[in-house]
Amino acid sequence: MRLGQLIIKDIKNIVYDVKSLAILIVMPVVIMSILGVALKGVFGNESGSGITSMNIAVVKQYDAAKEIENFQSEAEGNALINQGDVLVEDINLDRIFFEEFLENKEIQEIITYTVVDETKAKELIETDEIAAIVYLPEGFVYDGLVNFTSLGRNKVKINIVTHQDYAFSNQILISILEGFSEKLNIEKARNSAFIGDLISKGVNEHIGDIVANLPENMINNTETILEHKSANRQKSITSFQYYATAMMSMFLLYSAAFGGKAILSEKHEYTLARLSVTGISIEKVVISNFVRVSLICILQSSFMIIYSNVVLGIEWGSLITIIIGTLIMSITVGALAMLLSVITLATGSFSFASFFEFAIIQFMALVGGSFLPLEVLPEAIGNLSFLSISGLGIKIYTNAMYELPLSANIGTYTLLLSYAVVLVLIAFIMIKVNGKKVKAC
Amino acid sequence: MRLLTVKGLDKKFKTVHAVKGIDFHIEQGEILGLLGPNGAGKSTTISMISTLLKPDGGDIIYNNESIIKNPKAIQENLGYVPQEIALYPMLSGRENLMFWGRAYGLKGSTLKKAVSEVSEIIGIDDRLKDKVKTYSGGMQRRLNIGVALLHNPELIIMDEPTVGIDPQSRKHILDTVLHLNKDKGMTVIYTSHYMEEVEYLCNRICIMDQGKIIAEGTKDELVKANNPKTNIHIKIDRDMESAIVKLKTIESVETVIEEEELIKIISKQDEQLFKNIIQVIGELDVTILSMDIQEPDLESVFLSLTGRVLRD
Ligand SMILES: Nc1ncnc2c1ncn2[C@@H]1O[C@H](COP(=O)(O)OP(=O)(O)OP(=O)(O)O)[C@@H](O)[C@H]1O
Ligand SMILES: [Mg+2]
Repeated sequence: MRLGQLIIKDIKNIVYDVKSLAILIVMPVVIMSILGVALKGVFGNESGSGITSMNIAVVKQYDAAKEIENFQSEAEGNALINQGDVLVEDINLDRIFFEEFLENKEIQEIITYTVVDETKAKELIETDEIAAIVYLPEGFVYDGLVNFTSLGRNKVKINIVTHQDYAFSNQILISILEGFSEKLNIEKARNSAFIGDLISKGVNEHIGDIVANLPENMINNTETILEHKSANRQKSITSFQYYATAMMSMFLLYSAAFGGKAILSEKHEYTLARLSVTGISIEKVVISNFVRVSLICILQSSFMIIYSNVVLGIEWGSLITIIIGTLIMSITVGALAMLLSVITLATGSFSFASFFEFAIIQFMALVGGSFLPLEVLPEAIGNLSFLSISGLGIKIYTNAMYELPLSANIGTYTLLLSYAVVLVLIAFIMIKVNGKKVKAC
Repeated sequence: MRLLTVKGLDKKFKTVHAVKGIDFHIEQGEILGLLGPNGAGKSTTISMISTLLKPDGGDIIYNNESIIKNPKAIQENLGYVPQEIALYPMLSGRENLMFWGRAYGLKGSTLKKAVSEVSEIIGIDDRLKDKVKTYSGGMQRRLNIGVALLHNPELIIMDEPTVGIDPQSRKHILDTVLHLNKDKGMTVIYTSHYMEEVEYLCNRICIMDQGKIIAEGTKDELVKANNPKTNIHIKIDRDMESAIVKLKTIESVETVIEEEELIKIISKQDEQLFKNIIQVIGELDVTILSMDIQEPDLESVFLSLTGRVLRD
């Protein structure tokens, strides 16, 4: 019998089985949609990129012009203040905070602000129109100037009053602002180098660092919403985009678990014995299963990509990277399914496939960045990401979103394909070694 | 012509010695019955002939070739009907037939013809489009057989093909087996623990018990070789216990058991037997409701060979 017939039968068996079809294809779509709704629910109104923003009010408790004037008159003849060539305008925190920080494109996607007086701000928060009030205190500009130009350490302090219904959004706001003010204090030591950096690149380039420096408990709450941004990339992607790749790569692994159980199921249903009597070798049966799982993965991926693009508005980026990546991912997941199916057959029990489902998938998802982006994971865990098939998938798909050239993925492609080869080889060796155990009856 | 020879066939599982060095053979065109109680080793024997299991000892020769060395020698000529339903429940009857037909190397118009022919033989042509999981047990059994017939095999091996089905389907299956044998010249190995089926169908019978073939021959040969016994079933209105005790005192009577509200007597040939029975029962205050005298059958052969009844 030709392999093709076996594969067609295997595919039919899934397609006709509404339950497994639902688990394999509809579930990921549902979860993606839930994720979408959840992310939208966190923020108020929708914006073009799929990410929506929270409204805050900013209350200025200082008079910028007066504080600059104060600083300049004090600086004159003060040996401790080294103004050098630095223009006051460049280190004016009033300008940096609004123009560099809040007006930054990425921050804008998360935070929409209005500058109001205190009374108005309180009114807004009471009528649920804003999630928080940010108070920039008296001396905000002056202290900043002193910090940047002298050895003085006047702490720049920002106060936040939050609306209790927006706890989640506010976690993010707090962590972003903390990151911002922390930068201003810590980086003080490096003085003008930092200022130059801040000004030439804009604060946005540091969001990745800010995120990476967030305290542990913050990360847990912010990971799903924060802009996922790395300093050296051309394009940025939204967290929604990131989690679409993460979900998809993880779900492909469940297809491997499914395929890993399929052959032992055939044995239990006695059709494996019948196949064997017709002279079809066990190798052929597991290869057919490999191909079936690969085809399911291609189907799953295409479905999720198209659905998330059309319905949820997620941009997946470079088509060629996606196509090659999907093919290679599917082959590797198919190979994984093949090995799993041989192991379940040899052990005569589904326990290894279940172990894979409940432990190995979770492990791969964790170290691969399906739960939290690698940037915020402890390095020790992130270093294991090369072991994670789903993690390599995320890499490929996010690279497609960053619109990196195809060559940026060659390493990942090669690694995935070598995994596929190794998995298939181990499967064949196991069939040879176990001989009698991997038989139909 | 000798189609299949089994020599010293042996199979051990971890704790069970399932088949203990058995010998038998099949002539072309025969229906050979393999009769035995649960756990006798019938399925294990059949699995080895079908190349599913490798024997631990002995050989199986099909058309002068050892199938242990070359499984292909039997595979394409064999229609194997497993004891369990081995079908894809999510696929329709037609899809199952098409798939298994292809598995046997059929294609194109040959395949289509085979599928329509077989579905007629097994009588499911009106349900071909439905998923197999919606079939009744009897229909699934019939399809289970049909799948093995598509490639017009020389030899069909059926492992208890009538287990757990209604009398109608059962009759249909038995008639199918006879049809395949008489009209299509197929050789059949038929396994069962229903002695009536084996008696009805088979030219020759091997009786298996505890991994061994304990008797072999035509029904008549088996009966003769094991001292023809007379079977008498009596139904009385009460006091079965006393009747059984009394009946056991008759000299020629060998066993008396109670089964399905009948007193079943197995006796050596004895001219005085009926007279003695009537007399013994007449001494009790009971009425004979019915009395059925049966010719010696395989049940009695098995009983006399093992001291046990065939069915649990
Ligand atoms: N795969 C196996 N592993 C261990 N023991 C087995 C296996 N298959 C069969 N046996 C044992 O071998 C013996 C013979 O079993 P087999 O299935 O051949 O009997 P059978 O005559 O077909 O019985 P039945 O009428 O119940 O189908 C039984 O004791 C059974 O428990
Ligand atoms: Mg059996």
